[in-house]
Amino acid sequence: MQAALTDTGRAIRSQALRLRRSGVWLPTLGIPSVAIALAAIVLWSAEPAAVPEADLWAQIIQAAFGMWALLLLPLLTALVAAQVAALEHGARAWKHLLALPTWKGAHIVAAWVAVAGLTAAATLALATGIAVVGAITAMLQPLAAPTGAPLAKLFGAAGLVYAGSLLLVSGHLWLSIRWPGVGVGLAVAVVGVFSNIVLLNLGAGAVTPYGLAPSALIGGRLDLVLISFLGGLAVLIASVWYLSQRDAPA
Amino acid sequence: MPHAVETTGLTHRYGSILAVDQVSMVVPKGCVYGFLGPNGAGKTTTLRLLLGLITLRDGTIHLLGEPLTAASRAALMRRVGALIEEPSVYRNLTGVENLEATRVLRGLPRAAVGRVLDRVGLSDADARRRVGGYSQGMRQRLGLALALLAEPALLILDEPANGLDPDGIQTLRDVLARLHQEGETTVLVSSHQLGEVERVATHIGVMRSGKLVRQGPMRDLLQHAEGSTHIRLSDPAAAATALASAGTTARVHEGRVMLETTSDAGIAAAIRVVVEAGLDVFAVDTEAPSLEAFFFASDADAGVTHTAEAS
Repeated sequence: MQAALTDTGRAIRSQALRLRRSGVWLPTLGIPSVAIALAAIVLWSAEPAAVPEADLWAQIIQAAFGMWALLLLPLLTALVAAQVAALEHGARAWKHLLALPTWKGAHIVAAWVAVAGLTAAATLALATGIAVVGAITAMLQPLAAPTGAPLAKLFGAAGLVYAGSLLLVSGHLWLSIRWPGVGVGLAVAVVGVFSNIVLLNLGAGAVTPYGLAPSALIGGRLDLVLISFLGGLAVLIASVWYLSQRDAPA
Repeated sequence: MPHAVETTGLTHRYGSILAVDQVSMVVPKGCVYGFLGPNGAGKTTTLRLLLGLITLRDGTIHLLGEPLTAASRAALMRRVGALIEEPSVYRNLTGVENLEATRVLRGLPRAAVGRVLDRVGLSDADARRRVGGYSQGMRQRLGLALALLAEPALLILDEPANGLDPDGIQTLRDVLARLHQEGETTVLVSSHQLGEVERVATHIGVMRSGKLVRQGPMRDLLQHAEGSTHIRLSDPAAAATALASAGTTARVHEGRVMLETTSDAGIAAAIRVVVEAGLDVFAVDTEAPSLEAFFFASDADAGVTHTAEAS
């Protein structure tokens, strides 16, 4: 157990090094930037004092994180998972990694930490970006938003959405390790996202993993967050078992 | 003294294809073992089995005197370095960063990186460039550096000379020769470049269709091998056909006909056949026993015929 933990720590350090200058940073930074820009447009186009500031911020948080949970975060997760796995697929590095004197599961756990960390960073960047936009608005257009963003609500929403997406992190990482390339993961994400939109419009609630984060946000439901966390853990354990049993790809 | 590698009855199938068939390999400690065979002979599968990259289903493997099992794999791999097929290098990282990524995983001291770069002849400036801009030869050197990083007791190299320029090949030769001189590292190197293997190997093993058909010290094996005779003539292909019809084993190599004999009677009979076939003979050379001749003699023993020019 001690050896596995040591190996996992080393694998995480090595994984962090391998992310340098990789393509994974483009969606991680680009997708939240788009969401922040949209939130800024909504805020700066609001009529001064047309709605109470609290309601305005509630609308912005719900709109930004609703879009994040429903659409952008699943797509980001699919892209980031594919690009993290592509580091090994592209370098044909599985045979190198799996011939090293480390616990084989350490490489999967490290990749999971990378995907979870990057999606967390993107979600945090979104919340921080909206807070900054709020602060700028408070300075430049005090009539529209005199006090800036309510930080507790903002970061609370971010945490809820992120925790509700952990099952997606594990699922998309497994898909990306099993099938190299962005195609399969992204196709599954697109089908998942749009079927989830249909299901939510039909009032079906969180039927698929793609519905957990938006439903957790809308209803403030911690039970869905717990399902996402436990489901993500189960898929991660299954992925570790899968890689340990499977022959290394050529 | 335990061997560096010892397998018994090693067998592996890909579906219905028998890739490795009852291979019992012995690689003595401290030797450079040239692992030969044509493409698809089962060399890479054997090496992947030795590294635990493929689940062992039939047979046993002992590395450095210890049985290779799921439980012992990690401890054994601390003493093993490997370069399997093309090098596993990250194009987004520099050479140093690639080595760092593996150094961290292996828990080695920082000094290991500088030492190994020096050993494979990658300059400091090249090592600090992104691997995306490396030539194939430089990537191969980096792959070799990754394999040597832990100063392994057993070094497993699969076609390490692929893509190397003459300088790179010389560096590889020097590295292998130095490892052999130091005596701390056993090298198991697969290659289809017979000339290169002949220069560096002390022992050889020949794979054919999944079977290990020959192995042993190169000196002993070549002692029992015949030399060869090369005939330069007007139409080598037609000559090979005429010789085959007359029951003489011959093959076309580098535009010449090669006979696996150096006896006067054998040469005279062969020349008679080609002259009677209406061909002009320009030159006849004999060669002492070589690994190449031994390799193709193994072919003949295994019933393999060559219809195309050998590489």
